[in-house]
Amino acid sequence: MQMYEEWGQSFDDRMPIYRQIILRFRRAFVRGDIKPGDRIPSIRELSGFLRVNTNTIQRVYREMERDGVINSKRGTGYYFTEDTEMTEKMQKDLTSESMQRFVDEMSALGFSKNEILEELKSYLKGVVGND
Amino acid sequence: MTKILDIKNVEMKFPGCHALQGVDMTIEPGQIVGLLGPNASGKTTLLKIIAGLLQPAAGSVQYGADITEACPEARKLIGFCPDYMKFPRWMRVKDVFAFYKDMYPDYSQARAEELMGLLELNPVLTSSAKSLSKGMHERLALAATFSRETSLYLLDEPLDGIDPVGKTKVIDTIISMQPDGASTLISTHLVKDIERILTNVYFLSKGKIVFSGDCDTIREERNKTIEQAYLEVFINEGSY
Repeated sequence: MQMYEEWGQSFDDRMPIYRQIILRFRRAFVRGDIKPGDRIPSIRELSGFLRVNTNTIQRVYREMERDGVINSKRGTGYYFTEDTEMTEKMQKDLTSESMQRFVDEMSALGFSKNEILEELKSYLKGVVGND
Repeated sequence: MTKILDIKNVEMKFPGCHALQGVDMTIEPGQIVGLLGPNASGKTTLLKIIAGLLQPAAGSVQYGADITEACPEARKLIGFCPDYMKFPRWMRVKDVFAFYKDMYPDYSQARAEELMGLLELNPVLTSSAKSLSKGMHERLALAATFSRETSLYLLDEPLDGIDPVGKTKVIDTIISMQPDGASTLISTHLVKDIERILTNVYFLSKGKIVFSGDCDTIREERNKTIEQAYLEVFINEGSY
């Protein structure tokens, strides 16, 4: 529950709140903080943890359910998907989204594809060092 | 979806002052709506019209599917928390709840007790309501309002004069005590404190709605916080 309370303290009010919550769920899942088949909080519970309107949480759950990320079991609550295809897809999507952001910013700075690759290599060498 | 409230073209005039001009507003179940504007923009006047305490000069106010004017029947549906709730001198805090219990059929003892806990009113139950500090007075007014289980709550400046801890408690109360399918309309100029719990906003300036929308759509389209959008609109309006 602590994880959810922490989410609530770090929203960026310039971005749609519902999208930020969906992104946090996906990240938490890819990182392993939420496991396949885990029960997630009810709409009311999450609304309390995050201090966000229940309508917003409803929208989050509706979209995640539509995308197959979570399932609702009648009377017992919402559960994260156990579908391995889905979880692999989520991992891929998140990875390619971060890559895209990075590449876009580097391109905007005038780097070519090869230059981006070289920059990244030398940066990682510097950061990771003797990894 | 049945609307909780549907206001069309509401006008209000006071001597020498056109307080509200052509105001339209709709509220749907589950929404928490912010009525945002500087002082003297007409927020309280609009809330009083919705609460049935003022008669508009023109326009229509419809509640739910059936009630088409502000009348005693409409008042039963509304929990109104004015910016300063007046309590008689003899009333202790617990008498306020007893009064609500006697006055309103939708009063719920279970809700009242939960609210006394949430807003930490238990230690002052036997104090005189009039003698409370401003912050505690606001908390009591909010607790009394939400002790009723109704479909539309109107809160006039609920964060005014409340310290940061109190503000968090007020926000928690609004989120957790609004019954499923009910809605809340909150007037305030403290946009930053409240924007995260709002689903929709109406900006009121000199008696006119100058901007309105769904909060997440506003953030998406403008890449701005509601407070930034508010400042932008009102600085352009020349209200500040």
